[in-house]
Amino acid sequence: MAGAALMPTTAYLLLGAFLFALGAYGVVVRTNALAMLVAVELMLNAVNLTFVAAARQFGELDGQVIAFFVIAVAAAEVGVGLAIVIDVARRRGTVDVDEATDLRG
Amino acid sequence: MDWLAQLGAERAIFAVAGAICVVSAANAVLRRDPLTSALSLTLTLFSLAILYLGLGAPFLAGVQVAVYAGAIMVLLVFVIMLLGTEHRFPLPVTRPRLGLVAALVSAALFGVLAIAIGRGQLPTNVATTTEATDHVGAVADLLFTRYLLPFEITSVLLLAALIGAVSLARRRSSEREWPERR
Repeated sequence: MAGAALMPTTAYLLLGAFLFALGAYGVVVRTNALAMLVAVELMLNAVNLTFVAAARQFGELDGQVIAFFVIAVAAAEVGVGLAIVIDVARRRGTVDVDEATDLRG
Repeated sequence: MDWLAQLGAERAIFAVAGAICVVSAANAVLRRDPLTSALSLTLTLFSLAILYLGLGAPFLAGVQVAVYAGAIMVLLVFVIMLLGTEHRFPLPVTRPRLGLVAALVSAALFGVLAIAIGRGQLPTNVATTTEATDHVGAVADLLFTRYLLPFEITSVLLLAALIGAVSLARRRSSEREWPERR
């Protein structure tokens, strides 16, 4: 295999770090709960990219299996998260997280 | 993925899919309309699946498209359309005072991560085991031996999430339908 033709793993790690920072910015800045969920998904995928790139670098498949688990957990997270958003929208008529302050958060 | 390496195609894949990934991710975070955000994120997920192919993870690329870009994003888009957020609930795109601080903190986070990545020592041998011909079989071997317990726990987690989601989203008969915004 022509190793020189492969993309260095560092490039993937930097891309993952950029996506993670972008997602973190989105989670903090957006007030729409659905847009926050989108940003959380972006962060999860950034970590997945890092796992897969590391899996190739180390020559092990463990990173890919962990990314597989992350996808399964993300599915559960989105399901419950969307149910909460629907419930909040039904009770308050808004999906603005700044208005759901009953716990004084 | 030998043929990819010989063609030097992985660099081309990374350049194209990575560029699409960055642009669509920025679009997903910065656009006001949640539907635009969700569809942009779907494009990001597809480009990540292509990157996984380039990294020699075809099974994960398939799962990414089927589960993530398929099931999860369909659910998200479905709820966005159900709530019709942009017209029912007009919201500012950002918290004005917090925006600048958040941008600076995120930039600092990326800077710290980039420094850590730059200083870190990766093993120098890019091993060839991930390019096994029976890739799905290799992943399955790992999934059902070393990771069997997490695999089973994941199934319980998904069941719990399913029940929780149904319980949360079920309409209670005593509630009014879609109250006006307070």
